[in-house]
Amino acid sequence: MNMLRVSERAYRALLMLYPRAFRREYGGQMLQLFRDVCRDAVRQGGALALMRWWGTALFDLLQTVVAEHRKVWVKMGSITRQSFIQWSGRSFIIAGAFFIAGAFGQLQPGAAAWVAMMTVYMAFLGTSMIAYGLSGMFVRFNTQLNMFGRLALLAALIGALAAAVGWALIVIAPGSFFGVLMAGWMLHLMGVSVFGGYAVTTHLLPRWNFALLIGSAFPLLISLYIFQGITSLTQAVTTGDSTNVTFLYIFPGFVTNGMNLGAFAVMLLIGVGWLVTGVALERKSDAAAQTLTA
Amino acid sequence: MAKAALPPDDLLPLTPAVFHILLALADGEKHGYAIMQEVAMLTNGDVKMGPGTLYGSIKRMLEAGLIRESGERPDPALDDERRRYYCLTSRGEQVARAEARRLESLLRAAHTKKLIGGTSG
Repeated sequence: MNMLRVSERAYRALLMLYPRAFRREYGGQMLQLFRDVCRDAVRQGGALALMRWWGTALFDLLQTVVAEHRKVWVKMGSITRQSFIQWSGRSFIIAGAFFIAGAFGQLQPGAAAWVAMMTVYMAFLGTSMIAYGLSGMFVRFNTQLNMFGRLALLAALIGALAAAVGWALIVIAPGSFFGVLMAGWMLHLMGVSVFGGYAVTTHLLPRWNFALLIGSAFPLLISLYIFQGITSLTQAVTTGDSTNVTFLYIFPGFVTNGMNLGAFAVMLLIGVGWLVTGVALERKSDAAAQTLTA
Repeated sequence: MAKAALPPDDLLPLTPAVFHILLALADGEKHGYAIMQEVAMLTNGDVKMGPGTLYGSIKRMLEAGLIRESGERPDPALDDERRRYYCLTSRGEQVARAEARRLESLLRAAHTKKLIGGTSG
């Protein structure tokens, strides 16, 4: 009987090797089964039969411990990927909301320092969300993209990350990291413009592929004004004097009664572009999630 | 659960462990040890299923809707009431029949090619 008790204790300890959920559900039954077979083996064939059963049980344990852990890892990987993809569409919607909020800030009559600061914050938050969304987009569409589309999307992503860092650095040390912001922002806009064109021609998104171009190509066209505008914006943040802010002018004549309609239009375009892209992706990501779990 | 919507043929071929368990449950509900003994008997002792293989397969078969836990318990005086009993679902029966048909057609092919049933040489 002692032999049976030792066997049972040893097998109980070995059951700890299985994933916790599996052990909780079936550990008790497995131990009971092991105990039953041990008892019958000893009754019918003595210690030798018990040893033979131990060989079978150990071989089985080694095989199934690996298999059960692998299933858990596969499932976890699938859930992480699935939620990442789902949140990419939502992050574009949030980014769009930030840019639209920033756009309406530009309609405040008379440029104020808080408007300049709000613009920087909205742009930072919006660009960060875009970078997150582009990462999810990359995970989701990676296998469908050719080299051209992949490079464009990567450029857009790297540019957005650099721009987000640039916006943050402008708050911390105004004027010092202007180059990081501009290089990142330009790379991002060019990347999304090219990727948007690719999406339109290949019908990559389930619908509204043109939205990517709204949020990138039009702002890119006025890039010259962005350089001038951001310089004045950083000055306004540093000095608190925003009388010379010309952020994102399309035409100087767009400044009407102190309202920067140029900046309003550009931020609104970016906001609407990403908002629409996010809604388009949101629909599809539910379907994509279902196929991942099927 | 998504697998439950698939036609039976889409689950084929079954792993040997799953088919053996379906066969063992074909004539009524059984607990784990009884399934194991039945499998050993059906295969003349060639297949010795370990606890991990048995319950790993049971877990997947429950998820796929091939078997279910039986609500009925034998008289506690006759058996350990902690044991869980499993029985085939109608879907499990369909899948078992489909797998048996598949194996039968393979056997016919083996007969045709004189790999079994005929005189060797």
